[in-house]
Amino acid sequence: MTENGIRTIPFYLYLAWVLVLSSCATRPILVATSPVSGEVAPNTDIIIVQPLLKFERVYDEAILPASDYQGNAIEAKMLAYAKSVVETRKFVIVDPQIYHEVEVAGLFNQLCSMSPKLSMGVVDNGANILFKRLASSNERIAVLMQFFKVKVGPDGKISTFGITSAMSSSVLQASLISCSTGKVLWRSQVLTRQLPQPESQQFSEALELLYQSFPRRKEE
Amino acid sequence: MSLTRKFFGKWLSLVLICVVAGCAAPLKQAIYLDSGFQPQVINQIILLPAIDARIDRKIEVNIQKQIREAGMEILNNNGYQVSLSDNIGGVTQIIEDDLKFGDPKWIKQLGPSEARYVMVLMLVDVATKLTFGSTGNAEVAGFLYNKEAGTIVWRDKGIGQVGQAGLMFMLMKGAMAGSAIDVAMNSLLSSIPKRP
Repeated sequence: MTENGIRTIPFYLYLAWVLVLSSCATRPILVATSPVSGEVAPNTDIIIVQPLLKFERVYDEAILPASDYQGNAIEAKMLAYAKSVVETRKFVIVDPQIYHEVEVAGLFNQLCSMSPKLSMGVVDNGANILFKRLASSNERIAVLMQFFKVKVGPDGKISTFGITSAMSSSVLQASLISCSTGKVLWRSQVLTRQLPQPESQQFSEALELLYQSFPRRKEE
Repeated sequence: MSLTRKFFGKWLSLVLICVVAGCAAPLKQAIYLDSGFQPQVINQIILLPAIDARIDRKIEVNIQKQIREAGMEILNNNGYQVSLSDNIGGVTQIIEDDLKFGDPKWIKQLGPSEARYVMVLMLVDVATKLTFGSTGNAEVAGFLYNKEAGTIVWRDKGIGQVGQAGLMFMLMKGAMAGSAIDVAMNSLLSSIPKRP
């Protein structure tokens, strides 16, 4: 081997190392916090509330249109996944349409708007009032709340002054709350350090991780 | 000769002043700044314990030192008198939504009863990454309330993106979190007008 050839080996090794690391860098980091899981009565009926999606710019919290980030496809996937999880864990799903009264139907819109707090398991007085109204017709009802917050940040850059990494992230949060008691029966959250792609493997992995600890119905 | 020197000296100074003025960082626009904000009426800011609102807590951060104490130093440099207090007052817990949309009742209960201006700083996220070198990202948020009036006076966010390329900097990944937090904190508090 020539002297030049020997000199180029460390360079190629470095290049290979950099390529390996940069491929790792594109993978999302999923972080699930410890899910809170209370006792779920076997006869619990579950209403899956419409997920709330929020897309905001990271540095000034300006709201961005969900349509720019396939919001509809994300929402549909979240609903479908939640439905499949609840079914496979043997719980009964109650269609909110059974609450045909206009007043009660509007209640779900109010609950949906409370998703940021409720999906974190924070149940305040306002939510408790709505829960009591739902429980008045069926006290076995629990609601499954979902919130998806996407922070759109600046991209990573490579310049003569250095390099930076992209700053976008998204957080999936979900909780199951008993309407009669206002008690949080289960909750979980997952952080992904990238913008969501509803058809991607990473988004499916994030949903899977979110619902991994969802309770299974115990036999009566 | 001395006349020429005087003439050019003056012009040179003027050009230099213009260049420096151009370089001076403009006041960053806050997400919210009360239209009646007057820095001179704020005699003292009570800085409550900083909040760790991160979901991913893998990176160890000394929140009170890197967020609260760093914030106090920046505010001091901007002319504000700051006191630290661990008394969060009558509120049971402090969550981001309450801080953002805190209603007057909630704000009036926040912090020591005798306090007038109360501030809360929050670390929202910090992450590091190993790529062609090392990078760090941080996101912080801050809230300043007029406890007496039960209103929010200032609210903003700061982000920090730092990084260096090269083999040597790949070994410095751990330091990137701290640097990113410093940048984010300076960016955050740069939107509060300086106190004369």
